[in-house]
Amino acid sequence: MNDDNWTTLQSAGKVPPPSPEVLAHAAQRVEQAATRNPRRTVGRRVLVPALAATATAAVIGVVALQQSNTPTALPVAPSTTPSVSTYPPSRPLENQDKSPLCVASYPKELQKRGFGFDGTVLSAVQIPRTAYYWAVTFQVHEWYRPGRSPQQVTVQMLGGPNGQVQLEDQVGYEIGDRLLISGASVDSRTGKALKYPIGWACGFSRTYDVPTADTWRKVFSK
Amino acid sequence: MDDWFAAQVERNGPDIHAYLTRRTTDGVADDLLGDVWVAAYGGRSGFDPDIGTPRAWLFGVARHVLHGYYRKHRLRSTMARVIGIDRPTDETAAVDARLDAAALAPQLREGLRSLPAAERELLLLVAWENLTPTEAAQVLGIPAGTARSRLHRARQRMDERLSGSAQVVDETTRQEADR
Repeated sequence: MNDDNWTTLQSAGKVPPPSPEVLAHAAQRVEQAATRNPRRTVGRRVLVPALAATATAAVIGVVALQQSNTPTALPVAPSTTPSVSTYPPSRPLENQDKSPLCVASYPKELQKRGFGFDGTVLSAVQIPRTAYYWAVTFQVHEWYRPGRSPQQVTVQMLGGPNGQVQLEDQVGYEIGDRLLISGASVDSRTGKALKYPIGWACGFSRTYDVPTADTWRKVFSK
Repeated sequence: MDDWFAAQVERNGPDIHAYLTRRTTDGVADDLLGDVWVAAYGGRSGFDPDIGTPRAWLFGVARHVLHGYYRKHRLRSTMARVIGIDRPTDETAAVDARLDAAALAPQLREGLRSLPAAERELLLLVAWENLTPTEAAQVLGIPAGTARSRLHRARQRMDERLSGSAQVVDETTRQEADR
């Protein structure tokens, strides 16, 4: 490479310097880590094998549950129908509903989703070998699409219940929460039916409230 | 945090941040910088001044953190694509986006893209991060001699590619002049 090309390449890599706040924030993180765990290297020798053993046991348990292949095999929470008659305003389960990364916008493209229902979370199990996906089983109160479906359904969803959330932008849900879920029942890349439907992010999966449920009913009936 | 480590953070912060910025999008580098310091602080006993410089060691930690980020990100993106979210899934895609944005000469851009990944990474560590070939070798965990020969080969490939393109351009110009 001649000098001109080398210089051009170097200039293509130029980036603005970070703000002092960014540098300070990063330095603060290591300060906190140092204060929180000053003897970390000693502790890790004991902790790592213990954590590894716990993780292995957990994975074996989850795999066993998954291999049984039926939603009823998933741990089922006590049947909890919300006793309150009013619900707080519906909100998306994650903060990405306005993200430019979303390929469809809610509610404009709700009507295009392959399925939609109102249901209560019975159980949630992390899907093995994925960092963020959970098999979530619902007691369905009403199917908006398709019209006739089973009373219980297991849906793959981004993120687990609160306390087991893995995404930084996840609002989350709890076992027993009443949710409105819509998404895909067909893999858009292959056109094949999915074993478990996928609850979409980007606002298409959200907490339940009566006005939003009414809207969904109308939208899906069109 | 001890004085030595605090000095490294202060001295190398902007360069490590620049390295992360060039290989990610959407302000991810701001968060990853903190991850790099935490990881480096946790592993500082592994730094051996006889083997290399603190700067190269920190770039090595940053590279490790970056790979971890993309590994995690790929898992997320595989399913995210299905559920309606799309993002770059590796640092090559982020670097490509940067090269596009920089409106680099097409021949240079294509030349870089055609390099084997290991040569390209090495070339960019030297060109963009101003690391010496020996420091870049330390970052990549390869012998210095291997890095030097790999770098030489990368520059040679780029030369061939660019001179090939130049010949095509010259030929086109000549043909147009003949008309």
